[in-house]
Amino acid sequence: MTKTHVKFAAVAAVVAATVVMASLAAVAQNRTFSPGAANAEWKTYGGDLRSTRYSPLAQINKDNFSKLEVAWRFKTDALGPRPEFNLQSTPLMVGGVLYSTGGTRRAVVALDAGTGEMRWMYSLNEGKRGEAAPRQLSGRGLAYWSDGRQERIVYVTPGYQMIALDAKTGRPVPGFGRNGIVDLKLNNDQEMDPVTGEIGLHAAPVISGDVVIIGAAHLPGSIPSRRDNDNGYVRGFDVRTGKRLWIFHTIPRPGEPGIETWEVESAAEQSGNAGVWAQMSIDEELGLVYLPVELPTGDYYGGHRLGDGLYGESIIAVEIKTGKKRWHYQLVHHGIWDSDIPCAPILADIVVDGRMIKALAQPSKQGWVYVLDRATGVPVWPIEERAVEASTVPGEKASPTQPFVTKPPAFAKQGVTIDDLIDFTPALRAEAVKLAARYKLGPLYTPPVASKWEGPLATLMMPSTTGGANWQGGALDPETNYLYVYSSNQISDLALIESDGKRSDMRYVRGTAPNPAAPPAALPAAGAAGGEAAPPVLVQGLPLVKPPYATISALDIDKGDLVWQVAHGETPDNIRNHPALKGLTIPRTGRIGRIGVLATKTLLIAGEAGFFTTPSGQRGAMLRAYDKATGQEVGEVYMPAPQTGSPMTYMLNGRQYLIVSISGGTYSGELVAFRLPQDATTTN
Amino acid sequence: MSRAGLACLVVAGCVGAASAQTLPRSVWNGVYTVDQAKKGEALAVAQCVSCHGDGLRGGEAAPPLTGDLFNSTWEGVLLSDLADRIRTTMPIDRPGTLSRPQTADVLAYMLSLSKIPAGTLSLPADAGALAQIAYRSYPPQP
Repeated sequence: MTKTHVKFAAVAAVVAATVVMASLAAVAQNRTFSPGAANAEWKTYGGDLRSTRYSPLAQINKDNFSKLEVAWRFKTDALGPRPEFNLQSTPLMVGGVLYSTGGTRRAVVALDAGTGEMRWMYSLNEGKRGEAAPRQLSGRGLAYWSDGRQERIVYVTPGYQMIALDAKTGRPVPGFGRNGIVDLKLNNDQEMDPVTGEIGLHAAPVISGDVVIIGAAHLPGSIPSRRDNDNGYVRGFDVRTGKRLWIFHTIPRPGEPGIETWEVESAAEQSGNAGVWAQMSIDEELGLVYLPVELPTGDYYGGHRLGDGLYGESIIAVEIKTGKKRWHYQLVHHGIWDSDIPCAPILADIVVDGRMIKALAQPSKQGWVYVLDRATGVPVWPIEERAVEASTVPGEKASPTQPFVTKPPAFAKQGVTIDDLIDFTPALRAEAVKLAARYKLGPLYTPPVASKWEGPLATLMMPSTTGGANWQGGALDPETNYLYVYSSNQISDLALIESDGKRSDMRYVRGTAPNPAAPPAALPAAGAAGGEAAPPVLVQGLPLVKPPYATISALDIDKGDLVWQVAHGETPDNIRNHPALKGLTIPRTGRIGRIGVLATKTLLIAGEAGFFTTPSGQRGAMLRAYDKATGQEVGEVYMPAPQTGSPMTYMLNGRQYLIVSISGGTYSGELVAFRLPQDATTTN
Repeated sequence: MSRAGLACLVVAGCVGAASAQTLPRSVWNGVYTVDQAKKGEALAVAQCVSCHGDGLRGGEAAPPLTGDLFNSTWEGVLLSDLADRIRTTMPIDRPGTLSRPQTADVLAYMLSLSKIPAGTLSLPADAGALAQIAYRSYPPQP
């Protein structure tokens, strides 16, 4: 068979990199602040409190990346009662000690950063409270604090308790809370069951000075059991004592600013969620912490919470010491697409048309980076209110307009048209078009529909409800102000059905209309919301939309431009080996997942999601390095499982280490430390 | 254990995957029944969807159990490994409480979500029998 070359939108668009780099060098000279991970350590989850995920280390570079070898591995199986298969931790490294969460009970370990040998381990068995937690497993990380005399590790358990440990011994600090523990379900301006209260946190705490700031997370909100779910307030605590210093009500209470954005005031009192489950960022000079807020209760139906509904899907700047709001900016009004702000805002000092701006760059599920002045909340480039389609779901009243970012361009595909459907072959194309005819297609912010079997079955939404970007966020090179972000291009079929009241007291919940001609179920789905779950929108097991399925983008946030974009992740086996694609040459498609990126002096580093089989027959995933200026791939290293936690790096005894959390499929959680062979190291 | 099995255990990346040539059956050969998938759906609604989302599409804190990411993670993996993973780690608040037959029912539901056609025989609960079937996300070539 003659090989057919399949073309799809070029993704390796390298845009005038040489010219761009020359101008950036001049800009960099004007900056006095040095963000990024300092002193060759990694002291906070995001590398620094600005969440740049940047380290200036340069020993590992484009010439030697592929020579990386495993320095040590740390398996997390025995840290809990059973192995964990979704290790999302980014460890910290301070003073030669690596600190990480791990295991199904979210233990904390201190490891020798050079060998992986365990120095201590702390684990709290929370019993029923832990079992009922909405955010289980090992979480994403922890926080380090020191006043130069004491050193502490602070983290949040699955059961929503904040624990301060002595960093040297792993023992709870007696003067913090009660025996080192603060019960976060208490003193939260609401009553909740201490065991079943639906609140937890995967994100790492952030600490500035003596203030530790804690957010909140809940179960997914597609079929919330209660529309008056628990609230996700944000609180500041004294890191020395655990005493609550302040609380910020992410849904305003009567009399508080923002309540006027709720058409029915009692709905604000009733509604829950609006947590900050994403990582927060801090500007210590301005004294502000930036809160990326999720939706109020109900991810896709807002009929019980009419109005713009502050502070849903807003960035809020509050004073670190007092919790008082300085400004807010709502990214989505009256959200009905689960556009929770999923990750840390990245703080950057940018230069726009010769003017220095203390900026905040917020990657989003919907595929934009929102760039705001972080002192004022004013957009750096216009964000325009544009008319969007009205909802036809009974009781719903979608916002007539939504904010549209004009710069930088979207890093993900937005909206779905017929042109987005796969065209590998005419037959697949025809099948895709026929399938799509049952759905509603439209641009970004096309509302979900009330599902009908005869059509539309659902709204096809892209980016999907999990993004675009998600919790892993992005990275920033503070020398060039290039922002890097991984993104998935996949579809969600978004539809609502009337709730039967058994699983939720919402009027509508996510679901798809059943086939009225289908035979009665052999056994009814106990408590089902009323509709059978629709199968994923696939064509012979292939994604409905064209590749790339996952990309890494570099955005110049001085200029508001997309500099380069590459497909990230080798084409998965289920596509490479698909019989319908036999004889075709499929360019690298990228692999869908949640992939954090790491920027170093010269490289942009990220592992792959999912598995594939290497040319030598190994099943696993690659850790890849790109030239951060151009996006050209410069190295790869095999890993036996996908990256599931964002990578970090540090220097110890003259050698640079890269740490990646890997897990997935049948491979349980493991921290893997890479470094160069001794003879390949050069002076940093 | 066969020599081939031993070799598989010591070669990283080999464990859990299988080539189509060694398999007597494919998931596309009617390896579960509609009734079994319905039983699995009832179990999934009660025990899985709160984290994995409606239709097991995935949530913020739990991966999808159908669709693109699931396919790239589990392509070619033996159903015995997938069943073991479910049985020993899920549901997350009560791991180990699903029996082997219940686990097979949930697996049948997951296959049905992936549009893999049902047949006349139920998916077996026995690990040895499940080890004869590998997950494939795409139908065999006509």
